[in-house]
Amino acid sequence: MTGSDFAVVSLRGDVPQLDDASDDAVGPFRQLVLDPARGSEALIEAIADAEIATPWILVGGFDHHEVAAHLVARVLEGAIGVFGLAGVVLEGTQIPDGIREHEVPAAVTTDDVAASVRSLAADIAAWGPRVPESWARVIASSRTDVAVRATLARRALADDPAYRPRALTPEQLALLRDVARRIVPQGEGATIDLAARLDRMIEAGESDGWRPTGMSTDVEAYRAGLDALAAIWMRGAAAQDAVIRRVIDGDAPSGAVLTADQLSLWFEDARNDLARLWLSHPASLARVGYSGFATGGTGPEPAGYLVLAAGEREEWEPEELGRLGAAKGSTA
Amino acid sequence: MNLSGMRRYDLDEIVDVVVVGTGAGGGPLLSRLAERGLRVVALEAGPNLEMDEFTPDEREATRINWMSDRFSGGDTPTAFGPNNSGWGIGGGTLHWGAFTPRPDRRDLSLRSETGLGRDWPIDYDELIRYIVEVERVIGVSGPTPYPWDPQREYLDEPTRRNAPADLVLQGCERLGITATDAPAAIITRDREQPHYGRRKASIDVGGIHQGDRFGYKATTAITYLPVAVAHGAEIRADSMVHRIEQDAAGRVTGVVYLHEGAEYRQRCAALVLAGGGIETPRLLLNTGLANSSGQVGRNFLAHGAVQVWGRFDESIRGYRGYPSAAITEDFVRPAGVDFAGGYLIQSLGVMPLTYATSLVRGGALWGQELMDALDAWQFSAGIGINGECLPSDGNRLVLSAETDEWGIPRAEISFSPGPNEKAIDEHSVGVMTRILEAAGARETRVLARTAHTIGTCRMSSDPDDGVVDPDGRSHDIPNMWICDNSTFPSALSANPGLTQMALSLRTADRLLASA
Repeated sequence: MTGSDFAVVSLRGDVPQLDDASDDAVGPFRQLVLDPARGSEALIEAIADAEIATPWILVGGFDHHEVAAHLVARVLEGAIGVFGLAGVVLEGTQIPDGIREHEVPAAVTTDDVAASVRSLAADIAAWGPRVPESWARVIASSRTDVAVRATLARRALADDPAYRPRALTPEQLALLRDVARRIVPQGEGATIDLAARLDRMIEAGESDGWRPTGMSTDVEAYRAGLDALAAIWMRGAAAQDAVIRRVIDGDAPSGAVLTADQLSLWFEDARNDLARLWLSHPASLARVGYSGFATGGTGPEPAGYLVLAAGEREEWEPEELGRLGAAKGSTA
Repeated sequence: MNLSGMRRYDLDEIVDVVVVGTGAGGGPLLSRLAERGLRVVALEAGPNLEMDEFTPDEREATRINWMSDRFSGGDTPTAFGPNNSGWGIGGGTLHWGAFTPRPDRRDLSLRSETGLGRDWPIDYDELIRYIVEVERVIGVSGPTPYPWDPQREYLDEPTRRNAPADLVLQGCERLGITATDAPAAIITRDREQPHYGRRKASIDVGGIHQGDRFGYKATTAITYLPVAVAHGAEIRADSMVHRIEQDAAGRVTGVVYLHEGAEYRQRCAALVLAGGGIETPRLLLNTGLANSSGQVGRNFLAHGAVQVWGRFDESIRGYRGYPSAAITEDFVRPAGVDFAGGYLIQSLGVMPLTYATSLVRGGALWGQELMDALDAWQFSAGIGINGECLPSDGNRLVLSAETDEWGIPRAEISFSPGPNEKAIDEHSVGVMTRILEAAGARETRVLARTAHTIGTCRMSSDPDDGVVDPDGRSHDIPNMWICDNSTFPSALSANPGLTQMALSLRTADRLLASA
């Protein structure tokens, strides 16, 4: 097992020569070959039974576009037992709308399916962090509620580097990406495109229930704030951090639309939005050691915590969370 | 909640009482009035949520919070949304922390004691009788005996202690501070709730503020409201009241509300506003009613809620277990201080995004420092207060020039802490830091915060000093009542939910007696 393992769920039979390219950064690939004629519910069950804990790519032939779209929809609805769908490769010339609308990384090919799978897997690995396998198993398990699994499955999808902003201009998005790197430095490895996710969020009107007095709506504030920031932004991490400190302190030039205080208040909202977007990705939740999404669940009894003591964890939790504790540990 | 088979009233029927809001203010009152045979209709701005719509995911869970923007200003703008504002049938009790200390007798006579703030024009023992009733109906668990009130008895064993509670109790013990398990409206054994059904005992998860789908946390939607519906109350969801109609004598004759874009008018013989500390004054300011005192929207109070977090060697993971499982009331009147009132201390575990927001907004962190603090979260235990707040002229709610999705001017709230609030904060940070250090914290961090929305239509004996009389009835309009924490004459050091439910039953009884 390495951090670059993938799985392939193929509806078109075995994909030959998947692991033949020794220079690829991704692989090995585990293959699960399923008969598309079984129908999507049986297919979902078979994927669940395979207990795939790595990211996986759904592969289909020319005739499988419809069933593939249906499977993608079911998985992203939080189908029980299934997590980790990372991309789709189909034989054909056009990604079907039913898949495109889910914003799942996808590719079509008319010749070398294996090369297409390897290439998409390499992209996916480069475009976003992967959820560790022990955490993917918890998300797939019946401890995690269907709706929560659906939410985490969507958030786990890698961001498209060609994302075109909906609320911001491309220039504003590029600056927001710069800002995000300074405010929420994600460290080594692939990162979440927090700026793109924030653009989507403000386009959808997702707010936190309040605004600083006198501030316009989030989308307007983001546009005005980023434009003001653009006028004073610098190259280089140290210079950018200095700008950020001035904005936070309320003594940066703020342009014509916002006062310096408003720029500072908007920037606090932006920092908060970026931090929350980062932390709501399942890979981030794993990094900070949060297993609380796996409560409630769909088992016969609601899933809660039996072990509450410091340093201790439960059997179902990833090992790094502590030593195994005795159930119903310390009671009052 | 299940509203099938609910009795319906005609819009033209003059029902006995319309209640605006179904949370801790509206819920208990609605059930009392219905049980006594009154024809009552509750209008709730938010939706009727099914139990499976509650989720531990903090972003998705904002579906139970009032997310339509409020404007917040002053030196320390209060955060709204998930911090203090409910949405849906059940109101604020959907997201409340269910932390249920009883109010302290001294807090109801703050002005007599210190010359500051206001006294409550309410008999303390009468209030406690209502509180005991509420505790039994909704299911409050806690330690018996209770160190600061030896006569008190709780129904069931307290919730299990999580790691932050263990540490806070250890730290307090080493410092000679009395501390114990916290009273909470969390049931610790299964319970048959009349007209609702089986409620499951606590499963010890930390997502209390995101809503509970199994019934271990008391909300009005699984306690009082099913009783109300069983006794003939009608609850209309997605119904936002924006006008109040009166006759020539000024008595309320009905309310006008928006439901799915259309306007409806419900006639009524009496009106109870129970929309909470923001929506009730907003409605009154927008209609211009009940404000001969000029006090509507004034005296906005927010509890001091500063937190201290300690970093420990072992993994704490305070998102497990009831988040506030330990309490000390030793600082309701701390010795040797020069501020009025005091504060309660509770142990804290929080959910990840809530913590991140506190680090950003309350701790001003960003960059690598923010990431390091997030990585340290699982090794961190918290402790926080609920502190007294005095009224101040600048702390108030007004209407802004911008209108919301219903066409109603948005509320604009200003809040700046005064010297008393700052002194309480400073004192409590010292105490809490010592407790965490005594428990073995390697380093500590202070996160600023305020909580709750109180006081904006306060209760007063003198009609010039408040909006409602000691019964909860408008000084100006004899058939209009206010029943939510906007009427609190002072903030109290106890969290407001339990007290509000008790006041709700009391207001219902006063209303019934007035008829």
